[in-house]
Order: sequence, then structure tokens, then C-alpha cells
Amino acid sequence: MRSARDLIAEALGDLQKGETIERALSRILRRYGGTYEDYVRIMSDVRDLASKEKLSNLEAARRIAGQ
Amino acid sequence: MRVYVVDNGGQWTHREWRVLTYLGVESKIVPNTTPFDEIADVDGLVLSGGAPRVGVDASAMGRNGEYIDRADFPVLGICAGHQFMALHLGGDAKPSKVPEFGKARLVVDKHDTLFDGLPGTFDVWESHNDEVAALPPDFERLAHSENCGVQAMRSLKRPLFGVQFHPEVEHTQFGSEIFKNFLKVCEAR
Repeated sequence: MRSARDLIAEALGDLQKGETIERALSRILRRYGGTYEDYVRIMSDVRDLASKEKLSNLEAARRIAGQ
Repeated sequence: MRVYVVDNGGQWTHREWRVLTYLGVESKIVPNTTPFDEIADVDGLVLSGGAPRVGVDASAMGRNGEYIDRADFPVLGICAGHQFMALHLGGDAKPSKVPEFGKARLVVDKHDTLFDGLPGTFDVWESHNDEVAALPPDFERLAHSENCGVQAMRSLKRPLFGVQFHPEVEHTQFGSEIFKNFLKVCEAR
């Protein structure tokens, strides 16, 4: 399984217009055979950062992906 | 997106349907005796509240167990639905030491998913004699109140969520946002 950072980066690159990062990440995870647990773990990190730094989930995802 | 509401006989089942419809989701109320195959293609399911004590009475909860077992979509249990989910999946629900009726102050333990973007504490509306006394395996607590140890929970393995309080009642602050956050999970599957 790819790293969380790479998965988030790919989800950001695959984001459709108006789509949430949750949805994009879920799609990318399924593409690589990831589980719901993987989704929960990665999104928890995104949300924790978002809450801590007062960012949106999308902004937090970009920061984790280094964008 | 289609999210149905399973009617467990609660007084606010219609409100649950109404919130979902207001949020732009195709929804309908189905009896809790509906065969799973008739709801299998939904994007999410809400297990409504019920009459007093019904959440701890499996015989009154129809096919809720089947829905939980077979769902490959997100499920949100509210009040009786939440208690039943806990019992059905190996946790426990018992009479509350302090039943809650009316307003209570919710304390968010984990902002993940259902409480994403919401304050750390806010008012919710309660109506329960029983409560979840032990989380099922692989569940975590998301919120509590002074008199109720598990006000919200979620599975770490499957998109299953439960709330003791009633987000569909207007006295619950951020009730609509909680439903929106559940719908985000339904969208993401």
C-alpha cells in the first residue's frame, strides 16, 4: 500500500469539480485495495490537522501532501 | 444519493426523513420489517429512534440486525437505533442511571466524521431511559455528556455510526451539520 501522503496527493490530483476530498480519497483507496480502516486512519490525520491549524479538510490534505 | 430511514417507532422519525430531504437527498421512511433486498441499493441508512426501551428489545427492532449485518453502505443509528447497534455488535446497553429528557450538553471527544467542523461542546436534545454501556469491539466513542458516557460512537472497521441524542430535533445545535457529515460518508463510499 502506498503511503498516506502519496494517496492524499493522488486524491487531490484526481479531485473532480465540486467533489470533497473524502470522496476522492475513498475512490483512490479503493483503486489500490485499501480498506475502510485505511480511510478512517488517513482522514483522521487530515481532520486532526485541519482542526489544529484551523484549516478546511481540503487545505489540510494539501498540506499533508506537500502542495 | 439515496438514504432511507428505518422506522423503529420513534416520535421524530418523520423529522429524520425531513432533514435528509431538505439536504437534497432522496429519502423515504421504511418499516423495520422491510426485507434487506428491498433497500440494498441505498447509499446510506438511518435507523430511527423508537418507543421507550425498544432499543434494548431486539424483538421490537424488526430487521435492524440484518440491515447492520448486510449493509455495505454507511448506517447511522439514532437513539434506539444506536443502542440496538451497540447490543447487536457485541457491546451493551442498559438502563441509564440518569435518564436524559430535554436539553443536554454534549462534549465531543473526537471531532472525526460526524462532528467534523463543529465546536467542542454544544446543546443536544435527549429522550432516553437506556444508553450504551459498553462499546462494541472496534468501535470508538466520539462524544459524551455529563450523564451519558456514550453519546456518539463509530466503528473503525465499517461505516457504522450511532448517536444517543436526536440530531433531527431543532433544539439540537448543529443537527443539520451532523446529518451533512454523515452524508459526506455516504458520498465517499
